[in-house]
This record gives sequence, C-alpha cells and structure tokens, in this order.
Amino acid sequence: MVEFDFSFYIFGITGLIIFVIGLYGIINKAAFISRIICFNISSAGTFLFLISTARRNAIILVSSDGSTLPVPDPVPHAMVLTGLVVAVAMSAFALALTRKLYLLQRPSSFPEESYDIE
Amino acid sequence: MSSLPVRPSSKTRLWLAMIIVIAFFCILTSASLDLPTEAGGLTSEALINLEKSGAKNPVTAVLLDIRLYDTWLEMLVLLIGAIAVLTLIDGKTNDSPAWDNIALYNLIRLLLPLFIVVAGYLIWLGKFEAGGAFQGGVVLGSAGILFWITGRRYTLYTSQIALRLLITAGTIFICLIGLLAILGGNNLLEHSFRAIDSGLLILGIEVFTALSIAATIALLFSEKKELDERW
Repeated sequence: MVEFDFSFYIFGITGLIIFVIGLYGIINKAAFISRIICFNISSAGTFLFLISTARRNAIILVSSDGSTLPVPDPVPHAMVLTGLVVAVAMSAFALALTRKLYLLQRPSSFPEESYDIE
Repeated sequence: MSSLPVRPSSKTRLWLAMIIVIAFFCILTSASLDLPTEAGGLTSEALINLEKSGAKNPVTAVLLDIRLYDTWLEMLVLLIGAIAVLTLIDGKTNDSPAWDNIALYNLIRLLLPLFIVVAGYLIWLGKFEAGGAFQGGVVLGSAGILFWITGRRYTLYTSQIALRLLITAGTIFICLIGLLAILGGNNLLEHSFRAIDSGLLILGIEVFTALSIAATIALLFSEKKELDERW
C-alpha cells in the first residue's frame, strides 16, 4: 500500500477550513445571495476533503516493465462529480427562489448586504 | 422598514457564529485525524470490475457502470432543479443586454466552435482518462451561458418538445437501459446485462448525459421572458 504521506492532511484540512469559512458566512450573513455564495464555498471545501480521502485508499499497480502507477479510489471522485452538478442545480434553484422573492417583495423590503454592517 | 424577519447581525451573533465555526472545525479536524491511514476503500473492487465495465478509466467505470443508479438519480435531481426553476419564472425581468460590440461578437464566434470541440473531446476522453459526461456537459453548458450573456440569444426554445427531450435525454436513456435489463430477465441496471456491449453503452450514456447536463445548465442560466411564453 501507499507510504504515509501528508497530502491527505494538507488537502483535507484545507478543505475543512474552506468548509468552515463558508459555514461562518451561512450563519452570519443576512443577504440571501451571500448565503448562497457561502453555501457554494462550503460545498467546494467538502469536495476538496472528499477528493483528498481518495488518495488514502490508493493502490499501486506495478506494470511489467517495473513502473508503478498509483490508482486512487475512484468512488470519491465519482461522488464529487455527481455532487458538483447537484450543487449547481441547488444553487440555481436557490437563486431563482431569491429572485422570485425579490420580485414579490420589491427592493424596499428585501434584505440587503447593508444589514450586515451595524 | 423590513417586512421579512431578518435579524441584523450583532456582536453576539458574530461571536456565536465564531464559536460554532471553531467548534465545528475542531471536531471535524480531530475526526479526520483519527481516520485510519490505510482504510482500504473500494479501489480494489473497482479495479477488479474495471474490465467488465467497458471503460478503461476507473472513475468513469464507477460513475457510469458500477454506480449507474447513483448517476441516474443525480440526473433526476438536476431535472427536478430545472423544472423547479422553470416554475418560478414569471418573465418580468427587463430583457436583453444586447451588446453591439463587434470585437465581442467575433470573439464569441471564434470561441464557440472551440467550446463544442473541447466538450466533444472531453466526452470521448472519459472512456480512457479523466474526463467524461460531466466535464463535457459543463463545458458545453458554459458555452451556452457565454453565448447568452454576450447578448446572442440562442434558439434553444424554438421547439418545446426538443428542449424537453434534451433536458431529459440522459434520464430517459438510463431508464431505457434499465427497462431493457428487466425485459431481458435481469434486475434493474444489473451489471452482467450491461457488460454485453458496455463499451458502446457507456459512450451512449456519456453523450446523452452530457447533452442533458449542458441543456439544463444553459436553461438554468437563461431563464427569460421568451422561455416563459413558449413553455
């Protein structure tokens, strides 16, 4: 199997940091658009973490001429690929809902980014 | 002023968010550090079944053969997202940026064929290397978005039936494969059935899935008045 390497920790923990930054925005922002963007940041972090786990389960194939080829776990890759498209669909739906709400409420009562600043 | 129950962010809320976020980070980090360094995973199973699946790339094999059911439901999620966005359209947006910019127009004319070629290449590449339906579909869909935001309105909506077929193509194709498997006496989307001619089958799934992903992404972006009238 693979020798111990730090790349899982580097990429995985970077993914967690990105996830947490997005989570902070989701909690702390009032404007809907900001929250949707933060949701996307969070999902990017999640995908990075999930991809970085693939390397832990790599299998090294040795071909006949002695060269090695590490094959990472394909299942997290497939899950991230499907997840990306689901995230696109979800944020498109969220943006459409936000626009609908905006059109129904009209600008005067729509929460703007300025609510965040005291 | 506000009719919506929007809580303005205060100092306490900021600190609360900070505490939640830091706690979350600590829990997640400690959990991920506790993971065993060699978990085994599903790599060996995927590689064993790689030859049967008809694809040479393990990611494509997992995506379009071993876990095809997952991909199918994911296409359904995308379809439901598109339908949900379409129901929310009310066509009250003011229309058309309509830039009459000759440089932009010529740039798009140069770029668009490139997008289509790259998308086709990515779809074809999925059988051997990293690439495939999702990447190709997204490139094709972003070509549509680029076309739209530069003011060149494409005629995706000239026929309702064509549009509906396009956004459901992937789902319908995988559904037909499942039905054929059932008619052949196998279980839904069973691996052994698809192994018969799965190289061609995987290419078919990739093409139709990429087409409907591209159409859906372009559609999600281009919700406009014309669409509402013709739908």
